[in-house]
Order: sequence, then C-alpha cells, then structure tokens
Amino acid sequence: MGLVMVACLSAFSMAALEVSPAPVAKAGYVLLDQYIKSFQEMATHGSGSDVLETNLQKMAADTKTAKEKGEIDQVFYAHFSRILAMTKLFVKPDPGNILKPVIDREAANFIRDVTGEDPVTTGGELAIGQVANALAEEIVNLQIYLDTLDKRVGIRQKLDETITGPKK
Amino acid sequence: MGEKQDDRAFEDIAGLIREDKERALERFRKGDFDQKIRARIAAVSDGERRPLVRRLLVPVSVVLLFMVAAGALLLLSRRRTTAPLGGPGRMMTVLGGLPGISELALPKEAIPPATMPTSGAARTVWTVLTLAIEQKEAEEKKSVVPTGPIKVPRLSLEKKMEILFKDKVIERVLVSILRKSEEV
Repeated sequence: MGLVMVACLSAFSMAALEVSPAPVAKAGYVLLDQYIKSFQEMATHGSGSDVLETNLQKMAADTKTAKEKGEIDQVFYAHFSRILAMTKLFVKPDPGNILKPVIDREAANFIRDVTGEDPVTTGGELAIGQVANALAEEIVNLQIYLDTLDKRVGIRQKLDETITGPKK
Repeated sequence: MGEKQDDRAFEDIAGLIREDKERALERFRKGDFDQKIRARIAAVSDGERRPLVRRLLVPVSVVLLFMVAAGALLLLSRRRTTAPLGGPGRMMTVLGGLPGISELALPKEAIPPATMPTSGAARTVWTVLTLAIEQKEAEEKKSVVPTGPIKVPRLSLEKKMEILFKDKVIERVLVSILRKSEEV
C-alpha cells in the first residue's frame, strides 16, 4: 500500500516537472533584422546619427517588450541589449570627450569578450573597425543562438534524463 | 600532630569504602541476579520465536512512512521550481539541492534607499545630481519612441553575414558618424 502511494507521488512529481516548450525565437529574429536593416538603410541613404538613435530607441523598447512578454529569453536579451548599448555609446555625441574613458573601457571589454582581440590603442577608424567587427560577430552569434535554440533545449532535456533517469 | 590527623582521615575514608562495599555485596546476594539473568535470556529467546511478519511490521512501517514523507517533500519542492526558457527543470532541481548553489538563490539583503548625505559638499552634489536625473528622466519621457511592429523582411544567416561582413554596413555608418562629429 505504502509503495503504491510512493510510486503515485513520484509519478505526480515528475509530471509537475514537465519542461515548457522552447521560447518563440521569432521576436529575436525580428530584432536582429531590424538592427541590420537600420544600418543598411543608413549606409545606403547616408542618414545622420539622429535616425540611428531613433531606431535604437525603438529597438530598445521592442526588446524590453519582447522580454516582458517572454518572446525572447534572458540570454538573447542580455546580449542584444549590450549590442544596442555599445552602438548608442558610439552614436551619441560626446562634446568635450567627457565620456571617452567610459566608451574606451566598454569598447575594449566588448571587443575582448566577443572577438578575443586586444583593442588598438591608436583610436580613430581602426578602433571603430574593431568595434564594428565585434558588433557584427555578436549579431551572427545571436542568429546562430536562435537557430539552435530548439536543439539546445532537446539536448538539455536528454542530459536531465541522464542525470535523474527517463521521464515516466 | 599533623600526621596523626591525616591518618585519622584516611581511616575514616577507608571505613566508608568498606561500609559501601559490604552494602553492595549484601544487595547483590539478596537480589538473586543469577535467576534474573536466566529469566531475561528466556524472554529474549521467546521474542525471537515470534513470526517473521510480526517482527518486520514495525521497521517496515517506519520505512514506508519515511518514503511517503520524502515523496511529499519532493513533490512540494519540485512544484515550486520554475524552469526559465522552458528548459532544464530537473537539472536545476538537482543542482539547486546542492548547498553551495542553493545559497545563491537566497534573497539578497535589501539595498537601503538613497538618503540625503549629511555633509555640506556631499549634499550639494547630491542635490545637483538628483535634479539632473529628474531632468533627464523628464526629457526621456518627452522623446517619442515609435511604436508598433516594423515590417522587416526576414534575413537568412548568409544574407546577414553578407550585409555585415561584405558590405561592412556597421563600420561604414559608425565611421561616417565619427567623421561628421569631428567636422562639427
């Protein structure tokens, strides 16, 4: 009798552990596309930094909403927000170079984290090239992250089962 | 004189010990311990002859009770666990049980709210910063962020890489902005 009860309880608890399906990646793809398209249009039409800043604001608001709705996960949110922040640091005018130490430090950290390169100390266009390359790499990383999200969840599920036994 | 007193004290103590010893021996002789031990051995032997089911009843009941309690606790703890990203709930449960990791989940101490500094200079800086932050927040509220979904055609990974690495759009735009700001 007692064993039956224990078996029932175990089965019930395993049922309560059912993993939810993978989050919708669509919103993440849209945000990445928005970012690239925004730069593409600016490069084509030569718009000023105001346009990019407005686009960045829109993307930041969309990212926040998507996070609140659970349409993007924490990993995507953190990485994409950092991309937006890094872009904003470069786009925002900084008369008097007051923010230069902050921008340099953040850019150096970003480059090291994404590409593993040491940032050039000369500054100027070469430094911007490094940041732009790191931003592009990070966009591609996020795209691949979204592409493999379902697979990741599946593998993690299998790993869980290896640790605690197959689901009943 | 002193030695005599010590000898007397020793004799008194020895007398007390002798009396205790005699009392104990008397008690032992009256109690018939031999018979009591035999009776005890006989009682234990009777118990061993009890049927197996009766002898196992108590330990099995205790084990079952323990298992039911453990199952109930497991159920309660797992129902409380939420798996972010629809992901590794069970792995989290297993890892969450480890002492080093479970401590991470403990709520952190509340950060005390900012209070006005007491020193004069610090209070001035505090006031200026507070005003600046309020002004900045008001400006941020004023700036209109376009809402509604932007229709963006879905780009493949290949296309994205072409735009990013072949066309170098980010670099071109950032360099253009930098140049413009330097001109200003």
